[in-house]
Amino acid sequence: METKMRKHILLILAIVVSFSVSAQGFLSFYQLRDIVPQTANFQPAFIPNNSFTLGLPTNVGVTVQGDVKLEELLYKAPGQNDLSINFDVLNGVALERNNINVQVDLNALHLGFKTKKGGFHIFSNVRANVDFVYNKDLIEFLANGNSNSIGATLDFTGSTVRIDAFHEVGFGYARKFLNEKLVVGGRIKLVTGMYHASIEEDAGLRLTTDANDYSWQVQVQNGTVNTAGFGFFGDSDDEGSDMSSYMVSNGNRTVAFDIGAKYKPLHWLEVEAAVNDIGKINWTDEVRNYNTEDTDFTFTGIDLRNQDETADAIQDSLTNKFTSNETQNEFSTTMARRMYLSTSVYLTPNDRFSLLYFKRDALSHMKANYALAYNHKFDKFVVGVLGSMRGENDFNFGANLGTNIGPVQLYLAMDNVLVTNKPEQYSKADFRFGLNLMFGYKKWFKKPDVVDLDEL
Amino acid sequence: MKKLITLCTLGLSAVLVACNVQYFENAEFDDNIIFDPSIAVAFGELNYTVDELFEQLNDANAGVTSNNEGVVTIVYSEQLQSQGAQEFLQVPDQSFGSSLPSGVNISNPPTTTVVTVSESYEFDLTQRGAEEYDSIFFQSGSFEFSVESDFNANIDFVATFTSLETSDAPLVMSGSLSSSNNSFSETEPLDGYVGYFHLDSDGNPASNKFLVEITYDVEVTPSSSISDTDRVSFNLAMTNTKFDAIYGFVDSQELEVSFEIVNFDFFKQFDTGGITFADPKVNFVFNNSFGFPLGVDFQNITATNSDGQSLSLEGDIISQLNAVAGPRLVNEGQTRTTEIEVNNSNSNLVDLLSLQPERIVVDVKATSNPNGVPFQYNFINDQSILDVGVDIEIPFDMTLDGLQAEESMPFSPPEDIDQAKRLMIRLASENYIPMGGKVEIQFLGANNNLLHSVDEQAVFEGAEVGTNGRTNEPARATADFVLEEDDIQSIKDAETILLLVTLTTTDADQGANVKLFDDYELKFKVSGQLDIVVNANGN
Repeated sequence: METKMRKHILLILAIVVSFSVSAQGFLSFYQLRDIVPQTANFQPAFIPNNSFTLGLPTNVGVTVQGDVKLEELLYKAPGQNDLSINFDVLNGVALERNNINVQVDLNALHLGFKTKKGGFHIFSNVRANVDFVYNKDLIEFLANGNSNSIGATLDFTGSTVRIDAFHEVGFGYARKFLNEKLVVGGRIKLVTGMYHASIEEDAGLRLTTDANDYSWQVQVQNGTVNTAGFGFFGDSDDEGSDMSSYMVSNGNRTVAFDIGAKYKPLHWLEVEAAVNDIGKINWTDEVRNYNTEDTDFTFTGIDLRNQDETADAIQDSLTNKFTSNETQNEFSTTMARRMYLSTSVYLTPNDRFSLLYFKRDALSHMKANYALAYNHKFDKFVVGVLGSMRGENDFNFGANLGTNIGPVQLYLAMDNVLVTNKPEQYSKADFRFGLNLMFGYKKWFKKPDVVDLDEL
Repeated sequence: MKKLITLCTLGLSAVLVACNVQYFENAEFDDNIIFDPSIAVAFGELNYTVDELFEQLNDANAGVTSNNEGVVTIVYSEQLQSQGAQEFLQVPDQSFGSSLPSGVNISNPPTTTVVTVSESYEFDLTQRGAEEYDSIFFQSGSFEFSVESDFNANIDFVATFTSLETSDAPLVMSGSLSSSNNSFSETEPLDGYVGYFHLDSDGNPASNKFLVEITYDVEVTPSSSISDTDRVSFNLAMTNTKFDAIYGFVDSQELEVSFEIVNFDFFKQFDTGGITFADPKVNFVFNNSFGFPLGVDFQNITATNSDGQSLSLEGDIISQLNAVAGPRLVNEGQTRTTEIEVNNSNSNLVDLLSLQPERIVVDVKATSNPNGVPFQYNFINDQSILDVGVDIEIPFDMTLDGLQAEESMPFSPPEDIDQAKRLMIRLASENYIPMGGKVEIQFLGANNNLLHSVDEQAVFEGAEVGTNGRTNEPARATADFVLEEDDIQSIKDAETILLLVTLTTTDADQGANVKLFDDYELKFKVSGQLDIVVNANGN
C-alpha cells in the first residue's frame, strides 16, 4: 500500500513538472535546506544540525534569466565577432509576454544557534532585484516600428519594470512540534529600501495607427513611474557621502516577515510551505514621481504651412499632447513576496524526491515555477540534481552540493549547470555559493543503534 | 543505489567542468544596439483655399477677392497715368501791335498846342486750332508793352488794357516820349491777372478778344510842327503764360496715353498647358476733372507672353467711340469717373489672357471735345486732372487643361540622412475644387542639375461639378511617393526641391468651364513611413 502510494505521488510529480513553467531562481539551492543555514532565507522553518553557525559574507546568490537565450539577447551575426542587441532577433523569438529577471542576494551575516526544541538565528542580507516584462507589441515596435501595425493597435500595456535594492536585518526562530513531525519557523526583519523604480500598476500605453493617414491614437493611463534613491546618480560629485549615508540608513523602512513550516506525517512523506518577504516598504526618502496624466488623443500632425523647422515642430506638438510633471510624493510598494510549496518523498532516509512549487510576486501575473529534485545525503555532504522546464522546450538541469568538512561548510547550487557549456544557448544562469563555519555537531547526533561493522 | 549516486556525482562534475565560451571569444559589444524600425506617422495637414493655392496672386499688384457670385477673382488695380492741366494745355504766346497816327497837320502854332489822340483796339488771340477762350486766370507769365513815337514833339500816352484786370481794375500803362527819347517799354508780370476775352470792343459776347485803349497827347510848340501821318506805334505781348484756369473752348486736344501692365505674376507660375478664362474683364477707369468730355481710342492693346508671342486686342472696343465725361461748369472742382470695360463680348480678351501674358502694352489716344459728343462749355483749372487706371478682374471661371506650374523650395537634407533606408511620403487629399493635379518631384543640386526625380503621380483629383455649378462632395485620392535607399543617397547633395504640378479642371477635355468658389478647399493629410537604422554606437 505504501509502495503504491509512493508510485502515485512520483507519477503526479512527473506530470506537473512537464507543464510549462517560468522558473525564477534558487530552486536548486532550496534543496540544500537540510544543511545550509542560508536556506532559512527561503524556508524559515530551518533548524540547523549544529549548535552554532557563523555565516561569512561570502554567501552570494545570482540569478539571471529571461525568456530569450543569451545568443538571442546578445546576437552575433554568422561570421562576425560583434555582439549586438538586435531587436529584430528578439522580436523573432518573443512571446506574448516576456520576462527578464535578475536577482542578486548577498548574505552579509548569519549567526545561528540550535536549541533543544529548534533554533534561532540573526541575519543580514543585501538584496537587489530587477524584473522587466515586455510584451510582444513592445518588442514588435522596437523591431519594426509601427509600420507593420498600420490599421491596428500596438498595446504596450503589461510591459513594465521593477527595480528594488534593499538590505534587511532580522531575527529568525524555528521550533519543533508534534513529536518533531512539525517544524514552524518565522523571521522578523527590518528592511531598509535603497533604490526603487517601478511603473504604476495597470499603467497602459496604446498606439493605434490609422490605416489611411497614419495618424496616431495614443492612450495613456496610470502613467506614473515611482523612483527612490536614483537622484544620487545625477551629475553632482559631492553627493557621494550623502549616498553612502542614505544607503546605510534612511526613512524607507518597514518591518517584514518570513514564515514557514514543515510537516512530516509519514516517515517517507514531507510537505513544506514558506512565505517570505511579507511586508510593504514605505518610500519616503529621495523619492521622485514622474507622472503623465491619463490621456487619449489623436495626433494628426501639425499645420505644415509656414513651418521652418518641421521636424522640431512635429516633435514639440506630439510632446505637448502629454501633460507630465515630477513630484516627490511618498509611495509604498509591497515586497516581492516569495512562496515555496514542496512535497517530498523519501525513498530512504537519505534519498529524497521533491516537487517544488515556487511563486514570486514581484509583478502581477508572474507565473509559478515547478521543479522536480532528487537529493542524496551522505555523511559529510549532500548532493542533488534538479530538473525544470521553462516555456515549451527549454529544459533546465540543475545540481547542488553541500559539504560539512569539519567546521567548514561549502555549498554550491545551480539551477542550470549546463550554462557553463555554450552559455549562449541558454536563457538562465543561476548559482549560489557560500562558506559557513559550523560548530557543535556532535551534541546533536544520536548514537547509532546499530554498529557499522565496516567502520569498525 | 550507490552506483547511481556515483554516476550522478561524476556526471555533475563533468558538466560543471565542461566550459565552452567560444561564442564570446574575440567578441566585441561596444554598445552595439541595432534599432531599425519603420515608423509610420502623420506629419500634418496642408489646407489650401483656392486663393492660397495660387499664392503668387498675392503680390503687390494683385489682389484676390470674390465676385458677387462668390467666385474667386483676381483683381489687378493699377494707376497708369495722370495728366495735369499744364501738361494738357498750353496757352500760346500772344503778340499784338498797331500804330495810331495823329490825323492832323500843325505847323509852328502861335502857342503851344496839345493834340489828343485816342483809339480802341480789338485783337484776336492767336490759337493753334479752334480754341475759344473767354477768360484766362493767369498764374504766371509776362506782359510786355512797348511804344515808339515818330513825332518831333513831346508825347504823354496812356494805354488801358481792358482785357487784363487785376483787383477788378484794368491794367494801365502810361509814359512820356520826346523826340530825343521816343520809345518806351515796360513789362508787367501776369501773376494775379485775369484775362477777359469774352467781349468784343462793342461789348458783344465774343471769344479770344483782347481789348486795348490807347490815348496820347502831343505837345506842339510854336517852333515845331506835326503831320497827320506822324504816329505812335505800340506792341504788346503775353509770353510764357501759365494759368490757374481757362474758360471757353479748348477745341480738340490730343492726349497720348501709353503704358504697360507688366506685373502679371499670376501667369509667371505657369509653364506649358492651356488656361482659358470664361469671363475676364478689364476696366479702364478715367477720372476726369477737366471741364470737357474726352474721346478715348484704344489704338493698340497688345499682350506678350514669356515666349515672345504677342496678340493684339480686337473687337468693337477698338473701333467704337469711347467717351469720357467731364464735369460741367457748375461742378467745377469735381471729378467724373467713366469706366470703359473690355470684356469677351466687345473684344477677344479671352484669347489675350489665354496667351498667359507677361506684359500688356496699352496705347490710348484721348481727345478733348470729340465729335459725336454734345457740346459742353469747357474749363480747365490747375487742379484739373485726368487719371487713367486699369482694373483687371479675372474670375476663376475657367478651363485648365494640363497647365503646368512649377514651385521650387529650398531643401537641406538632414544630417542623419544616412540612417534612412526608405522613405514613403503619403499625400491623402480631400478636394472640393474641380481641379485635379499631378505632381512630379525633382531634387536639384547646386547648379540646378537633376539629382533624382520621383515620377509624376496624380496627387489630387478634381471634384465633380453638380448641376448648380458647384461641387457637392470632395474627391479623395491618395498618392505615395517612395524613396528607396539608393534614391535617398542620391539626394544627399540636393539643395532644391522642384515641384512640377500639372493642373486640369474637371471635364476640361470636353471644354467645360468650372468656377472656383471661394469656399472650396483642398486638404492634404501628409504622412509617411520612414525606415531607419540607428546603431547606439553611431554606426
